[in-house]
Amino acid sequence: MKNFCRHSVWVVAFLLFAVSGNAQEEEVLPSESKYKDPKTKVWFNTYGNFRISKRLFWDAQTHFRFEETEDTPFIGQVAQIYNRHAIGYIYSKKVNFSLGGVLRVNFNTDEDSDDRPVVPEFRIWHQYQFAMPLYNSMIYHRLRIEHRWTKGFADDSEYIFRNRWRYMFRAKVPLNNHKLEPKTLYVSPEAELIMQSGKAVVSSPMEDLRLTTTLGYILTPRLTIAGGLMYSQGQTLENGGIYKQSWTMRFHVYFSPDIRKVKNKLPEIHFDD
Amino acid sequence: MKPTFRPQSLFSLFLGLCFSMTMLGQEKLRYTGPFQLGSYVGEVDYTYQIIDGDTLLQGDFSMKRSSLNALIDQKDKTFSFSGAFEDGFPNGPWNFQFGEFQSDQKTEVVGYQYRVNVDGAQHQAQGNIVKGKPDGLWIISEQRIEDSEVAETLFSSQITYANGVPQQSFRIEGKQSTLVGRFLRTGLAHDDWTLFAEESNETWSFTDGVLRRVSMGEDTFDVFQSPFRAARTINLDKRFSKIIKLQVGPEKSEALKKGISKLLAENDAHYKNLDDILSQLGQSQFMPLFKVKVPYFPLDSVERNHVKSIKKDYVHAAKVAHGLLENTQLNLLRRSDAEAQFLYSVVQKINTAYLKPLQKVRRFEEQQVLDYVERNQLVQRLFPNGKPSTLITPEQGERGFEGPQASTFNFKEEAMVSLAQISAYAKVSLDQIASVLYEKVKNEQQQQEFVAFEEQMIAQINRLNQFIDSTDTSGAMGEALLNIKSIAEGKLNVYSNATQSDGKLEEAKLLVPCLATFEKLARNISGLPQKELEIQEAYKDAVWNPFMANLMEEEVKKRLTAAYRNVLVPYLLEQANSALECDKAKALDQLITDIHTRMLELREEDTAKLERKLRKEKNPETVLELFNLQPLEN
Repeated sequence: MKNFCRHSVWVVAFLLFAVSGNAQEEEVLPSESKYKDPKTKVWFNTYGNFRISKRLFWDAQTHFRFEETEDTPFIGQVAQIYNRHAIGYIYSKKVNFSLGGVLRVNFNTDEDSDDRPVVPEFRIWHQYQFAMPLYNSMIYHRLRIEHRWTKGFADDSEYIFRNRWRYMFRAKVPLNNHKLEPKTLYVSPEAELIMQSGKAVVSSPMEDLRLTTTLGYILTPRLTIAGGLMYSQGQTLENGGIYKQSWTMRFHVYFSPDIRKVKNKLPEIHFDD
Repeated sequence: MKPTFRPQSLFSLFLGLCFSMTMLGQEKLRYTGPFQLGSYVGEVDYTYQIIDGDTLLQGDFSMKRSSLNALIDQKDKTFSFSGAFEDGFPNGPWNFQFGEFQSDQKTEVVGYQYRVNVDGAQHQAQGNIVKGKPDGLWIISEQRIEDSEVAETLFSSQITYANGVPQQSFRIEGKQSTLVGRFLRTGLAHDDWTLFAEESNETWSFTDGVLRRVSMGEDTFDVFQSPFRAARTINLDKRFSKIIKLQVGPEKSEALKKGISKLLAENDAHYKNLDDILSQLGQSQFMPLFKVKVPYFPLDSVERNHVKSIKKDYVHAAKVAHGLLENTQLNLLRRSDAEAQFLYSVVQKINTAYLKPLQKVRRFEEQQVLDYVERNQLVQRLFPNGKPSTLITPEQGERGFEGPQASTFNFKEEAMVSLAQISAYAKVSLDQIASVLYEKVKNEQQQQEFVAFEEQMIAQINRLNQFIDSTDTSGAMGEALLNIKSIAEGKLNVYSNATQSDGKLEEAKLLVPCLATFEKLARNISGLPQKELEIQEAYKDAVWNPFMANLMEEEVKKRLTAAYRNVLVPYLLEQANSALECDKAKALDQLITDIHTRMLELREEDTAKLERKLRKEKNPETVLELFNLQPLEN
């Protein structure tokens, strides 16, 4: 039985490879766009924001992204472990910038693949975030630019370089309070468009469009939790006529400790008010 | 003749050199400019020397003031003094002028000068001074000026002096009378001094300074006629008037106040004015000393002792009498209390019949008159209606008062002895009356104090009850408030059940602030929730939330606020709910305030260490110690 399973895995892998080989060979745009079946994913994201000086902070994010597979249909298995770090600069209460790097570890979730199980991916990224109060809510514009080196799981796969151009619009609307403060439940609709460019990008500049709604709860000024659902779609790199889709459940923890010494913190805890 | 060089001339040259050196050392300095002399402010011009650090006037002196602006505006007070000094003494001819002028504001140009007519009065004095003393003829005059001309002489005095001693005849003119008299070489008054007046003449007849007789118009009376054992020369001044008054009696002395006495006093005032100016500038004895002789009855040592005791007793008795007569409580009390009224009128009687005459004795002693009065005459003058008796009968009423051991006092002794007896009797009588009256007043006052205290206490307890009734009395805080209320009421009950005694007033005095403390404590405790909010607010800090990009209030130093909320406040309420005595209530009230203040202070302080120590600390006393506060003593 065990042997049979192993064999059948190999058979399926071969078949898939053949199909993808065929597909690569085609590389022609279909006359109509084709949408793949949506995948389901679950993301567990932590967002750390360590204040290290009056104007600088360390942005530390670790995401665990699960993707459904045949065997584990819903929550799936770990697809990526994602480490995003940056040093942020607080220009003002409403404006901040970040610059840093990402080390993403991609796991091969293809159970049939006998390619490399793990492939690292590197990025340099910088981000410009603007916040605007609106009535009792806040809206945010985030521009994020990433320089990305990726390679596939295949043994002979080489790193390809792409740039990603991301814009996200997000709002946070308090539900049980007149403003965003501790013990507040809020709803946050967001939309992010991710465009890409690079030699490898021929017909698929729109990498991803993400539409998310999350529900969050501010526990303390330094700790917030949130959860939500994201729908996303985007062109596949191989063929701009083929769109991948996914439904992702997202769970977030936001924490922002202040690791400065008390004596540095006290006199100038605020920067420009 | 051929000039020859002789040792003698060398010596005189040397002397001359030495002399000029000393002259250089004592160089004369000159001052001109503004100057103030008593109430006179004006321009001065004088020369002086500095000798041993002292300013010594030397040479001419002049000081004057006049203001045309003041004259035209309203009126001008002008003056001008000029004369000279020698070694600090006024010396040489002097001239004084004082004027007070008004102008009709009409001007006239004569030659190259503006001329303004003035009305007013001018005082003038001129004469010679030798070493600070008048010498030769001194003329002092006061004139009324109208249209810049003398309209009337108001006063004029012409007296001749030899080294300060008045000599020969003098003449003093008043507005409507003229006094003419003469002196012996020694300055003693002699012969008739006659005042020529329109109505009637007054003559004082002196023989070698002794005033023998006074005649006023038709009326003539003797003064010092009978021969006396001893005599003294004194100045003709106020003391002399006093002695005359005692000699001739009050009616005649009243008549003597006008006429010659008045004119002499006026003359004195003029001289005094000049003396004041001169003695401020240097050394002078400018007052003219008219001498007279009066009989002398010196006090012997026994009499002096009596006078001493009279004075002492009088001062004491007068103080007691005034204390009683001016006591408002007693004045109220005597309206309703017959005995108090009687004693009060006795005090009044003692005051008029005993103390007033004794006051005169004291004054005579101070004025040094006693040595010049015959003792029996003194007693006669002090008590014209005879010496008082030991039985003191107030003006209205038949009842008399006798002081303690009245029979031991004898007022019929020799003059000073009986005066001493009278003063001693007045003193002991007043002391006795005072002790009775003050006791009465004290009781009355105590009653009033009781009423005042009790009214206050009732107001306090009502206020406390009202306050607690209007407050929410559920929970631990409510229990504490109700406890305070019942303790305060209990204390008031204990007080009201106590019997009236001396101690009760003391108790009332203590209970009033005690009830005030309870009220204060109750208000402080009911303010605790408000204080908690205040602290909660104070222990918030705005932090920037990077995910929201906004500022959020964050509670800081949570261990401190937790210790306050969970340990200290329950402890305070528990204490307030215990058996509270006044002292403890006061301390607790203070502690509540102190904790609050301390909490607000700690917000700003570096409390890292304290916060570590507070971890899991549940003992309120330890917490208080950590907060540097004094725990309550149990």
